[in-house]
Amino acid sequence: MILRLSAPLIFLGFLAILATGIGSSWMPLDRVVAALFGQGTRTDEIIIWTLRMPRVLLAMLAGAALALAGLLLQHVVRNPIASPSVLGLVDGAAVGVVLFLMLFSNEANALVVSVHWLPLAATLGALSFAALVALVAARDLMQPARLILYGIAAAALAKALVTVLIVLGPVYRAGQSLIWLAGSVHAAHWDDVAILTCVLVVLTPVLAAMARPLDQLLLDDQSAGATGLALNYTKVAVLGLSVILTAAAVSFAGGLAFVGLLAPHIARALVGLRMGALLIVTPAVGAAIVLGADIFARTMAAPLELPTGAITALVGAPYFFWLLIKEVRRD
Amino acid sequence: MTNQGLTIKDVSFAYAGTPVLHDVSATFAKGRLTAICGPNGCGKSTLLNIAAAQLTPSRGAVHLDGQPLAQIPPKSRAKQIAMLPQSPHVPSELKVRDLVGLGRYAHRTALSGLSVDDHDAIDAALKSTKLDAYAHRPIAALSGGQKQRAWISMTLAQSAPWVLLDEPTNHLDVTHAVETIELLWDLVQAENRTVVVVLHDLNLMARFADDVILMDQGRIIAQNTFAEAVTEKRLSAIYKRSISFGHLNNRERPFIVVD
Repeated sequence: MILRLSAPLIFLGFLAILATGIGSSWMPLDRVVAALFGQGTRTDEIIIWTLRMPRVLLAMLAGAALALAGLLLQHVVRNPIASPSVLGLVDGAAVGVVLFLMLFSNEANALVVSVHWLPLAATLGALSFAALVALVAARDLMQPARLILYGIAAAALAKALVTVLIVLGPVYRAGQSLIWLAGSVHAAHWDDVAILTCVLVVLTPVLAAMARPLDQLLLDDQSAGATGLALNYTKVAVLGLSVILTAAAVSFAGGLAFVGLLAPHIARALVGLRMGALLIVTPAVGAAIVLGADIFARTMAAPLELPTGAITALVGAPYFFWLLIKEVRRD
Repeated sequence: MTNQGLTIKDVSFAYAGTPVLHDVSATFAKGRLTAICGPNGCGKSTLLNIAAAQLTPSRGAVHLDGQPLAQIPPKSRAKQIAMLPQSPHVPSELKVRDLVGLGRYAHRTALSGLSVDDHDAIDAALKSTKLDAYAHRPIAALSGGQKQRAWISMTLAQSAPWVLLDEPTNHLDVTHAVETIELLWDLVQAENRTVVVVLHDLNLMARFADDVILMDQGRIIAQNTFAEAVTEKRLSAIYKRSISFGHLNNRERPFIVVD
C-alpha cells in the first residue's frame, strides 16, 4: 500500500524535473536540479525560475485540482463517467472567465480589477451550469447515461456562449480568450501559481475532513443515511468543492478536458476505493497527466506549441467513448 | 411509560402526491421482535423508513424515548437506530470487512482510523453473521445469501439498540431465510436489542415474531402480540385469499397456508 501510495508521487517528481528541463533549449537534468536549489548559473536560474517553473507548477496544480474535482463528482453522483468537463463545469467556468475578461478590461488590454477575482467569476460560471444540469437531471440521477447526456448538452451550450462572447467582444481579448477554449499553461505567471496554491491549501483540510463522509457515499443513499451520514449536507458540500476546484483550475489553465475523468480511474486502479488513499493519489495522477500532456504539447510540433487541453482530450476522449459504450450496454 | 421506545403518531406520507400512509400510529416495544406484514404497496417500507428518519412524514411525528426523531442529529440517531433498506448497493469490488466497517460511521471522528471498539464491533458482527472467513473477499465473490448476511453484518456493526430491516430474507433460499431470522431472534434474546423487520414470508413471521403489525392500503389493521394480532380472518381479508392456520404437534405456533 505504501508503495502504491508513493509511486505516483515519485513519478510525478521525476516528471516535474524532466518538464523543467524541456524547453526551447534542452537543459540537462543535473543543471535543472542545481538551478532549483540555487546552485546553477545565473542564466539557468532565470530560465528555470521565471520561465519554466511557473508553467510546470501551474500544469501540476491545475491537473491536481481537476482530478480532485472529478473524483468528488464521480463519488457524489455515483457515476464513473461523470467529470467536470463531461458535466459542463469546465465550459461553464470558461463562460465565467470570458465574461469577466470582457467586462473588466480596458482599451489598453489590461484588467481594471485584480486578477484575484478571476476564480470567483469562474466559480459563478461553473456553478450556474452545475445548477442547470442538476435541475434537469434531478429525476434521472439513477440513470448514469442520462445524466451524462444532460451534462454534454449543458457543456455544448456553454461552449457556444464562449464562442459568441469572443466574437462579440473586443478583438484584443479574443486571443487570450482562445486559450481557455483549448486549455493551456503556456502563459503561466507566478501570480497564477500563487492563487491556485492558495485555493488548494485552503481546501486541503476541508477535503481531509470530507474523506469519511465520501467513503460513506460508496453506499446507496438510503444505507448511507441510515448509518448516520447527513446526506443532503454532504452532497451539497462535495458538489460545491468540485465546482470551486474546477473553477480554480479553469481560471488559469483553461479547459483542460478529461483530466477529471481519467485521473480518478487511474487512481482507483492503483489504490482501490478508500478515500483516504484516493485523496492523495488522484491529484498526483492528475498533475502527472497535465504535466505529461504539456511536455507533448511543447515538443511534438516544436517550435509550434499545441494546446495542452487538446493533448489531454486526445487521450481522454477515446477512454470516455469506451466508458460510455460500456455503461450504455449495461443499461 | 408512554414516551418510552420508538413511537409513530398520526403519521401520513405521500410519494409525489400519491398518499401511501394515512394517519398511522404504531409503537415498537423494546426488547421484542416485531414483524410488519401486508400485501405489496401497503406502506410497510415507508413506515420503516419513517421510523428510521430516512423519510420525513408529511404529517405526524416520530419519537424515540420521548424525543422527536427529527431533532436528533444524524450521527446520534444512527447510534440508536440502524436500518437495512430493501435494495442496498455498494461497489462490488469492496471487501466484506470494509463494507461492515462503513456501519461504524456514527461512532468515528473525522480523521482517526478504526478504534479498538470499532474493530471489536466489526469482528463481532462478522462472527454473528458467520462471515469471518470471508472478511477479506470482495462482495462480488459472495453468494446471494452471503451478500445479504454481509449487509446485515454492516447493520449490526452500527451497535444500535434498534435494528430495522426491510425484507432481509428476499432472494434467500429457505435455509438462509430461516437462519437470517434466527440471527435476528438471537439479537433480541442474547443482546437485548429491539428488532423491527418487514417480512413477506408469513411462516417466518408466524414462527419468530413476538409482535406483529398487519398493514393494508396505507393503514394499520392490527398491532399486537402474534396471538392477538394474527388471525385467519384478518390475513384472508388483507391478502384477499383464503388463508388458514395449520398445526404441528410439537409446535406451539401455527403454520400458515394460502388456499
